Amino acid sequence: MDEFLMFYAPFIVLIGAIILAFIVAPMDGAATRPPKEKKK
Amino acid sequence: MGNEESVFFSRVLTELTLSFHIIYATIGVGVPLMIMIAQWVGIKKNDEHYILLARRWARGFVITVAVGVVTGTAIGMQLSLLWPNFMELAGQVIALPLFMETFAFFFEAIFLGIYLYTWDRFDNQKKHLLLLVPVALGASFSAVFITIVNAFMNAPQGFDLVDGELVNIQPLVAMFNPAMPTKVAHVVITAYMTSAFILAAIAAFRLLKGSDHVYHKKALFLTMKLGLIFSIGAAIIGDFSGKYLAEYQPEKLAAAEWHFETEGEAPLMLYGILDGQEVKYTITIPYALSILAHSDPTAEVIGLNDFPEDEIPPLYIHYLFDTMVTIGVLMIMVSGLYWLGRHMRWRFIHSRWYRWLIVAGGPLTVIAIEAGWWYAEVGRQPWILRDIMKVPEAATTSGHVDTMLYLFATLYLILGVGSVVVLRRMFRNNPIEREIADREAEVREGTRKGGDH
Ligand code: HEM
Repeated sequence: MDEFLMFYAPFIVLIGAIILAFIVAPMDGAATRPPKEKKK
Repeated sequence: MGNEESVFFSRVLTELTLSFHIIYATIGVGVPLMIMIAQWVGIKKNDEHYILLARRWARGFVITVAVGVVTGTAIGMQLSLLWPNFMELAGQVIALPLFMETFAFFFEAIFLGIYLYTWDRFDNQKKHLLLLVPVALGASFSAVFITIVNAFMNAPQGFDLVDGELVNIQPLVAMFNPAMPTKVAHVVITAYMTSAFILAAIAAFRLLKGSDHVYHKKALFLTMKLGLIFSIGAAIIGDFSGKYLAEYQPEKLAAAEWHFETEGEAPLMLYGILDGQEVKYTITIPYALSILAHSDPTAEVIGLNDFPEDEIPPLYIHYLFDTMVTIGVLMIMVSGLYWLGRHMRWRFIHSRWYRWLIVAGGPLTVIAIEAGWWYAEVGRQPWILRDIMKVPEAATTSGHVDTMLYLFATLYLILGVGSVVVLRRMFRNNPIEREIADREAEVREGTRKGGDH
């Protein structure tokens, strides 16, 4: 188990993170949404 | 100057050079990916703001690359000049990754030149984006190869040691040493993370300074999202690094954790101070060190008692480790809350204090990078090549290292101040509002011309 975590898992996490970054980057609907109005 | 003094000054000069270089190198590795993602989003959504983001980041990036080249060359030179015995011993083994690093850099530099020169020259933006692929790959692979050299110093293999010489060298076995995967992945992902948070800090700063432009809002949201992904990745890979250390460099982990006795169910010590051999004011998390080291709460973790006294790294690395991890966790929280707050429309993420926190995140992640490297390098002491050669044996006996130190310190000061001044001027003289207006005018003109045909 530790062998896997030391040798393969680091690259899997790194490449996974890069792919995920490309997937979520265009989802920017929330970027310009105004905050909720203050309750009166 | 005596031998001890030249070792001391060699150490200080190497530390100064690497600490300065790593700031520019980190940005150099991470920013091309950020540019690529921004341009890709711009093309995909047909949104001129993201294209402009890519364009402006690329312009600033060139300055940091230039400084990175100068300081990188200084490192190459200092390796041979300050550590001649190390280079004589290990030079043949590390020559391959060192040369590959140079090739990766050339690959990056050539395509960067073409990329910058060909903005607006492609009808199809996607073709222009393709030019960025070798830039980003070259940048990341430079980090991969140079980190492999560092990994080899920590876990040397791929040779036989005969009469104090390395023979029967197998360069690929040396490159794929056990320290390589965790180190390479941690270094590359933290470079992406740091670049994202530095760019986020700039966007947050512009918003704080009165900009209400949607360009900065998009920039902030994008960079915080990327920062979140890469900081979570950095923490996960950091955990794997802990497992690597427990297996192959237990003294580094034990010194960082003030773990004096080999034992199972080992607790993790956070913060605190060391008073002689007495540990005070720490936060102790039961079993956590056993879990970090072996993914098992009862596993035995090797303590410092298993090593001769003169082979134990300085215990102050505990503070460096804590600094790195604290900043990592803080940035996951800051970016995570921002991302959630954006979706839930929370107000506080738009407050001034929160924006200042994001601004602080830029320099803080750079501090985490520095702390990480100091921890990894000081934690390797007293070895320059673990179990084979100690640092004092490797150093030059030249009597002029102190003069070199002053000269290089002056050079770094000039480069540091110079690059900041140039970057500020570059963006001040060409504010985004004006650039957006110019682009809109160009587009209008283009359409009108198109209509004339
Ligand atoms: C959040 C949890 C983190 C953990 C558990 C962690 C763990 C580690 C460990 C165990 C090492 C030593 C590896 C070795 O010597 O082989 C290390 C090194 C390093 N860390 Fe972290 N780290 C974390 C976050 C960060 C962050 C946020 C940054 C920077 C933004 C960072 C930057 C570095 C650097 C540059 C090194 C030196 C290169 C290396 O040895 O891998 N780390 N980290």
